[in-house]
Amino acid sequence: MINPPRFRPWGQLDWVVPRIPNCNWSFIGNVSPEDRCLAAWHVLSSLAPSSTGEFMQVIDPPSRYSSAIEKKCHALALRLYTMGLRHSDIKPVPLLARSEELVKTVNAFIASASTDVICDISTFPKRFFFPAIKLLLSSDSIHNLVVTYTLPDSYSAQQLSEDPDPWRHLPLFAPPYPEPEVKLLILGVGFEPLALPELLQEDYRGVGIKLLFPFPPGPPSFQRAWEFVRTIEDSFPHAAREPIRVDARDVSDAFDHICAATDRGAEYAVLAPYGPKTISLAMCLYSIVTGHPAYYTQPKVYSPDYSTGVSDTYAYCVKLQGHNLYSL
Amino acid sequence: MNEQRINPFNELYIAETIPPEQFISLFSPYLVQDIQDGLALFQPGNVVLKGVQGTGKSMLLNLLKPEFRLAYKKARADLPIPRKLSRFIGAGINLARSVAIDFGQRVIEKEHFDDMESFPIYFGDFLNYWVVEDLLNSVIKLSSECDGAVGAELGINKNKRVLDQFARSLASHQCWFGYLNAVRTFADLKTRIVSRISTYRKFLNYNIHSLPRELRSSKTPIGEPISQTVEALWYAKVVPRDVSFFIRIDQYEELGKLKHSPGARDSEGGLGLRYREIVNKALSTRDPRISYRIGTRRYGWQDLRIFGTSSNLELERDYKVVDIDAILRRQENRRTWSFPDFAQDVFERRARHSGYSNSSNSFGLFLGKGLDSKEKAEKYSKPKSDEPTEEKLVLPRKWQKLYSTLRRQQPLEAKLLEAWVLQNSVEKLAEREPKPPFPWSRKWWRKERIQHALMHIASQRRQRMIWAGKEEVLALSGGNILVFVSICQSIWAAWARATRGRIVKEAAQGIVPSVEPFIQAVGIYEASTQQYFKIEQKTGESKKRQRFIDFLGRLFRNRMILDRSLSYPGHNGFSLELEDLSLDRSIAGFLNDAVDYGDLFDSPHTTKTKDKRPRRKWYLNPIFSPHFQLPVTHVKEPMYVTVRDVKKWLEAADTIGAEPEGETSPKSKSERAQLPLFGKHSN
Repeated sequence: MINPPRFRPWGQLDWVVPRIPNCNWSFIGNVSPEDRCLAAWHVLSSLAPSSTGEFMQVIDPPSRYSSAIEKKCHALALRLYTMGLRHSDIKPVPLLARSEELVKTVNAFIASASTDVICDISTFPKRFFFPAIKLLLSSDSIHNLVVTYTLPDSYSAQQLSEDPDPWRHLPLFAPPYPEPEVKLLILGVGFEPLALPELLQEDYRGVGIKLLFPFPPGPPSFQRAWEFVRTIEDSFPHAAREPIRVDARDVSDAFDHICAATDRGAEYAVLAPYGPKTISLAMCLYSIVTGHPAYYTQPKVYSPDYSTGVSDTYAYCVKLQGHNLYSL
Repeated sequence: MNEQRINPFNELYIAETIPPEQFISLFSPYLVQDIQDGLALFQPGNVVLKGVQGTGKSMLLNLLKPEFRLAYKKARADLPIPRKLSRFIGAGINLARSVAIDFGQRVIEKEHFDDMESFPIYFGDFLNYWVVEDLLNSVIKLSSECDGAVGAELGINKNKRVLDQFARSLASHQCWFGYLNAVRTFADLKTRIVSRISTYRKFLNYNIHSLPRELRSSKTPIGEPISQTVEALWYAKVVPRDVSFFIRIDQYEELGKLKHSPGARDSEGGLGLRYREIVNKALSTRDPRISYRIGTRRYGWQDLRIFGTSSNLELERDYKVVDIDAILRRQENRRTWSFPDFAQDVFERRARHSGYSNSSNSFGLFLGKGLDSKEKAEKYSKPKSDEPTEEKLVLPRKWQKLYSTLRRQQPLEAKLLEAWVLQNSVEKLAEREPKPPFPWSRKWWRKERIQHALMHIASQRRQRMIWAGKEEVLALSGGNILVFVSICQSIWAAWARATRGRIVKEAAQGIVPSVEPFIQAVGIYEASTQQYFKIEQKTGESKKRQRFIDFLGRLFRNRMILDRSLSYPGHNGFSLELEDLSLDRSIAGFLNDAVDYGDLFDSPHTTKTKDKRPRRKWYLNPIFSPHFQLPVTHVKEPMYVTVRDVKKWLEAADTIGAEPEGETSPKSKSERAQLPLFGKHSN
C-alpha cells in the first residue's frame, strides 16, 4: 500500500516559528567563519526573545587557513556576545572529535534545553549535525524539533574543502550487522567530490547509483555541480545519465525521492551525503528511520572564504508535538 | 562497414559486475605464476604484502577469497596457483569496513575514559569474532556453491552431524570464557558469534546504552579463538588436516591514521599504535595452524612492537615481506625488471577480451619503438621559424662552421657541444680539433645528459616534450599496472579522435592499431595531467601533497632549465641524510605518506660524499614527468638538501601564491583556479 503524502511544514524561519505557538525555543548552532552562521539565531531572537542559544565552535586541524579562520570566528563570536550570549555558551569541539565527545556535547545541550529545539545546520559539518539530529530526534524530552538552514549570498569560487579522510560512516550512522548486500548507493551531488570517484571504483562496482542533483542550482553552482557529476560519470556512466533532480530547499521532497528510490526502505541503500545540507538532512532523516548507513569522506581543511553574505533562512519541522514527521 | 574501435582500457578497474568467466579472462595471474614472489602468499607462514595503490596488492589478496576461487570454478578455469598450493581456505577482516577501528570512539567502561589498555583488548576480541565468523562462512560457501565442487576438492564435510559436533567441541574450549557455553549446534554457534559482533556494532553506534556484562567479562586473547576454530575444524574432520588457513587483514595502514589517543602522550602513538601491536601479537605466536596475510602500504608497516611486551616482530622469523613495488619497479639491471612482461600480459588480455584478433602481438604493435633522441631533437627544432631564444656561443673560428652546421642539422649534438663548452671553457675547446671523436661523445657523459639536453631544446623551441613507444610508456608507468592501463586508455582515446571520420585499415580488420608517436604523445600528456589532478582526489593530506608535488615539479624544471651547462641532470630528485630526517617526524611522515600514495618514489641513495652518511632519495612519480615536462630518467646525483630545505619547500607550497625560486612564467592565480571549458585536460 502506498502511504499518502505527509505534510511536513517548512518555509522561511520567520514564517514557520509564529505558526508553532506556545514554544520556548532552545537553539543550537555553530560558530564558523561564514557570515550565515549567525543568521538563524538572529531571526529567532527577534521573533522569540526569550529563546536560549548555545553554539559549538568546530575547530579544524591546523592548516594554512588556521589564522584566517580563527580571526573570522572571533569576529562572529563577538557579535554573538553583543546579542546576549555568554562565553560559556560557545563550546569548542575538534572537527575530528570522538563520537563520545560529540554525543556528550549534544546530550548536555538536550539536558539543559526546553521541549522545543531549533538546530541550525547551516555551517555544521556533517559529522556533527548527523549525530546531533539523531540524538535530538530520539530524545523524549524534545517535543518540537525544527532544523534551520541559511543560504549564503555566494560561495567561494576557490576550492571549498581539502584533504578528505577515507570513506567512513558518519558517527552513529554505521551499517547494521549482518549487513545486507549493498545494491544501491544514493549520492548527493555537491561541489567537491572529495576522493569519491576512486573510492566508488574500488568499493562499489556493480552497485546501482542514484544521484540526487540539486535543481535548479543556478550559475555558477550549476557548472560545479555538473563538474561533480562528470567526475562520477568517469566511473559510473549510467548513474550520471539519470540524475534525480531535487529542489535543494525542499527537504521533504528529497526525503520522498529517497523513499521512492528504495521502495520505502525495503531496498537496503548506502547514503553518501555530498551536496547541499538540506539534501543531506533528508538523507540523515531517512537513515535514522531505516538504519541504513551514511558515509562520507570528511575533509580536514575548509576554506575561510567558504561562503559570504546571508540570504534566506529556511526552517524545516522535523518533529511536532512528539511526532516524527519523517517516518516511513 | 563494421569498424572495431572499442577502447579495451575504458574500464580501469576490472569490474566485479562482469560474468566470472570474463573476469577470469581479464585477470592477469602474472604476479603469481611468472614471478613466483606472489607464491609466498599460498605457503604457510605470515606474509606482509606491501605496495602502493594500484600495484595489484588487492588483486593478489583477492586470490585468497572464496568468491574468487568459486569464480574460477564457475568459469571452468584452473586457479592460477600450483595445484599443491591450492589446498587452503581464506578468511579475513577489513579493519575499516568492519568498523573495528571504531573502538575508542565510545567509552566502554565508565571508569576508563582514557583507557589505552582495554580498548585494544576489545579491538582484538572483535577481530577474533569477525574472523571466526568469516572463516565459518568461507567453509560453508566453498562447500555449498558450484554444487559443492570446490568443497569436494578440498574434502570439506558439511554433514550436519559433523558440523554440530564441531560446534560443540569448539564452544567448550576455554578461550571463549564461557560465552559459547549454550551452543549445541553449528547454527547456534553462528547465531552466538553474529550476536556478539552485532552487539558491539550497536554499542559503537549508540543504539544500546552499554555493553552487556557477558561481553565485558569474556574478552578473548588475540588469535587464540581463530587457532582453536581451525583446530576444531580439523579435529571434527570438517576440513582435512592438509588444508591450510590464511587470514587476511586488510587496510592495516588505516591503524596508523587513528589519531585519537585518549590520555596518550604523543610519544605513545595513540590507539592506532596499540591496535597494531595487537595484530603484531597475533603474528608473533607463529601458530602453525594459521597464517596471516597483511596488506599494507609500504610505510604502513613500521611499528613492530608486540602488545604487552617490550619485544618486536622479527623479519623472516615472524613474517616474510612481499614488496610488490620492489618487484615491479625498475632496478639498475633491466633484466631483473618483471613489469614489462606483466604489462604485456595485461595488454593482451584486454585486447583479446575486446575482440581484437591480433591480441598476441598487439602490445609492441600498438606502441612501437617511439622516437630516438635524434628524432626527438629534430622534431623539437621544427618549425624553423621558432628559433632558440638563447644566444649562440662564440667559439674559436675553427669550430664555428661545425657549430653552425650542427645547430641547423643536428640540434642535439649542438646542445651537447654547448654544454661541454660551458662546463669546460672555450679555451679547452680551442685546444682540440673539430673532428671526431668529439669530447661530448664520451659514452657516459653523453648518456647522462641526453634527456636533459632534449628538455632544453624543447623548451627553447617552445615545444612540448614527446614521450612515445613501448619503453617510454613502461618507464612512465613506474611499475604500477593501473597507471599503465590509464596511459593506454588515453593513447587509445587520442588515436580514436585522430582517426575519426576516416576509414582506418586496422579498425576495419578488427585488429589493434599501430599508433604513431605524435598521437601517443598527446595521449600520454593527457594521462599524465589526469594523474596529477587525481592526487587531490585521494585521501589523507591530498591537497597538501598535490601542492607539494606541483611545487617540486616546477622547482626541478626551473633548476634544470637554468642549468645551461647540463651539469646537474639528476636534479629532478632530491636526497636527504637519514639522520637529519629522523629528527623531524612530521617531514618524515609527510614524505612517507607521499610515497605510500605513489606521488613520490623513494629509494636508498648511495652517496658520493666523503662522509658516506646513509641517505635516501626521492623523485616524482614518473607519470608526472610529461605534466611538468621533466626527464623521467634518474641519472647522476640528485639535489643534496637538508630537512630544513624540505620544510621550507613545504611551507612555500602551502603558502598561497608562492612560487619556486627562478619561476619563469608562473600561471596567474586566476588561471590556476579557472575550471577548464572543454574538459579537465585542456591546458
